Amino acid sequence: MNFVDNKLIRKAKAGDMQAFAELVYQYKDKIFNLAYRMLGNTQEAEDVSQETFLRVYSNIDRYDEKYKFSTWIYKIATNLSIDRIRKRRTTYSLDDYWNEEEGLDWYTRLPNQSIGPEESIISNEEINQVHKAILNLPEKYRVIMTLRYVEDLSIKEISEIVNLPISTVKTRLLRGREYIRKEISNKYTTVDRSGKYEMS
Amino acid sequence: MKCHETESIMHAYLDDDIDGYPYQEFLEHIKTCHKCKKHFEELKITERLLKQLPMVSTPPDFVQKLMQQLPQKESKTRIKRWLVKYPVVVAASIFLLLFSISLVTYMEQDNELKIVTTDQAKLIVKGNEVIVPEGKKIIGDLIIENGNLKINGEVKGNVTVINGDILMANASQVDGHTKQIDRLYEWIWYNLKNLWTKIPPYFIGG
Repeated sequence: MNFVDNKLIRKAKAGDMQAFAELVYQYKDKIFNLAYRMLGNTQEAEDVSQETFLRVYSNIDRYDEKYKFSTWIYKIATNLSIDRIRKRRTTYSLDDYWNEEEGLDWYTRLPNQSIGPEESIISNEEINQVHKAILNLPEKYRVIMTLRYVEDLSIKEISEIVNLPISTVKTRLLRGREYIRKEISNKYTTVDRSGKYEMS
Repeated sequence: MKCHETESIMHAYLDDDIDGYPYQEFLEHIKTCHKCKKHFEELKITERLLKQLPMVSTPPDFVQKLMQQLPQKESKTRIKRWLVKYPVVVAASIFLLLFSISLVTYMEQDNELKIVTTDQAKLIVKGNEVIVPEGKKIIGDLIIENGNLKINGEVKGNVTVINGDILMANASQVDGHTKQIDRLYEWIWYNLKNLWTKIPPYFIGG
């Protein structure tokens, strides 16, 4: 349980706008990245993130401190992302929302220092392929993969967020990873002993 | 170990949860099975790529935009929240407050005789006794406080006597109900029943 969170929440509940703003600063990047990997474009990611914080603001009285605040906010954000995907499916055709340019957009915003020399052997193209592969997963797998790899959460916390048993979360992780492995292994055929790989 | 048994072990390895899995046996297996070894290596690469998905930066005006969208909280919010959270407590406290005010007012009153009627001229007052004289007809309700009421004539309405007695020749002399209130708790009950008339209109349905 996060002590700092609870202090801020108590203040926010009492109507302290500064405390609420601090909560937003603490979580905005996490929520924005979650929504971005779930939805694949920055515009919708921003809409969903804004909506997430608006919901937090208006429902803060209903937040139960017995649970972690992060679990609660991730629950709101993942539900809103899934809603958006489903709504989109009925409103637009696939071609309308999948914008090829958008997939590369995030890279230009990337702070370079986050990539060390060792990891730099991973090319943009490979990362982009993983990004697209996640977006091709059905939502129920995409949520789990995003919470695991973008948010770096434990399987236990993921199971609390999505309200599913740990065994189900593990099965979905397995299927998600297998799908992405197949997507990228079509591109890379040779694997040497050290685990490094080359383009075929 | 059979090839189809290895997949769950590979994923358990990635989840850092190989307890209960024959991991050593699996390692032996992939020494000789090229297919499973390749599968495992690919999975480890996948895992590494997934973990290296870069963070995207949030639009710089994100917080500003959000704060502008927030519904403005009114100064009344706290009271409102109280009302929503403890409606019974709030209602009870308001009631108790009004009630004790009227009780205190009542207790502080002197024992002066009070008559409420629209037909006072027809009444005879002797000391603390009020008399409806024979042959006279009082139209409307009659309320006497701190005194006795003697009905020789007729009352076309309800009769209430607080802190006193009603004396009458026979019951048909009063057209409506008669009520005698001479104890505190009865007075309280009487006021309770009439509370709605005492509540200022903005409390009702407000």
